[in-house]
Amino acid sequence: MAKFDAILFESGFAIGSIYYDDHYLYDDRQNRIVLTIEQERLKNSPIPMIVDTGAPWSILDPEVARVWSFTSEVAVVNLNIRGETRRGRLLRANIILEATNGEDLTIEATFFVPLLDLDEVWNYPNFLGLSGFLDRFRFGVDASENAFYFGRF
Amino acid sequence: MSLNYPEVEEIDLSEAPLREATRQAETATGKQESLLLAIEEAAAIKDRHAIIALAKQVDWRSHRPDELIRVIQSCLFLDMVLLARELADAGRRVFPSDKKIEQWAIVLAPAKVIGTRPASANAEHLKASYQWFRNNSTQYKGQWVAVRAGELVGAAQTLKELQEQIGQGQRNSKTIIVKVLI
Repeated sequence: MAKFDAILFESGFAIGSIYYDDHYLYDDRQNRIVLTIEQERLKNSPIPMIVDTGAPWSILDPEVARVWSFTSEVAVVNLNIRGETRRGRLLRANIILEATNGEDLTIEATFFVPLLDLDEVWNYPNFLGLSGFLDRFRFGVDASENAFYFGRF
Repeated sequence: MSLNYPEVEEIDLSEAPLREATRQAETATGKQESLLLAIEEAAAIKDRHAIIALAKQVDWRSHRPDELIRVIQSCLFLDMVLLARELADAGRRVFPSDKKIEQWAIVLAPAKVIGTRPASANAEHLKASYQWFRNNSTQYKGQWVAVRAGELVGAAQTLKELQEQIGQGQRNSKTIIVKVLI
């Protein structure tokens, strides 16, 4: 149980909290907030995704997108991803933000899935960005014990 | 017997009013076309303020859905997500039966909380798995790995292969799957 679970759940700020990793896999050069996200329909295993409040979009590995199911999509759009123009699709999916305490939150969110060239390999993590995801629920971070609190508006 | 016809207003058969109405319509159409061109030019030089000001003046009833989609795409490329969302919503009202506009409005809509369920993650399992990634994942660079409660369940070159390898039984909320970046 995270230190502020009781007060934040009781006040209505949060309904759940999860223990997050502060590095992405073996990369200890940068501190991160890494959450595990599960896709609702297929009951697939969760995947780690990095919280990035500076990113307008959530970005999903094309290989993951192939096994997820989506409720809606638009074909091709050019987005500026970290200074680089990428072509891809915008896809809508129901995902579950898992909690270690309290309740999981199911969210309908939008992801950008890049289109790859024939021999191109996608070598980037998955990101949770602001538009279509982080901007529509409440969250707070306690870095002293790697607790990510979340709740609905 | 005589027939009584109702009186009718005298109609001006000269072409002047028609020409004036046509001219006004052409001017309005021309203005609307100019607005789209101006938006394209503003997008080319990344003038976001101009795009917002111009987009407010556009009467989308004078345009085709594909023209609106082009402007939405320009907005997205410039990270103008809120304007893109507003335009998609406007498009939904103006072109209610257009499926492409509908799709754009759906994907650009804000995220929506659908529901809740009891917590499904286990903090100790997560900590153990994160520790495994930190200590061992460099041996699997470029591969997909599945880890459950700090123990390797499988590794493969593709996600599909990994899923086949670990089977449906291990594909659940307790097993974390990730590609180890090179």
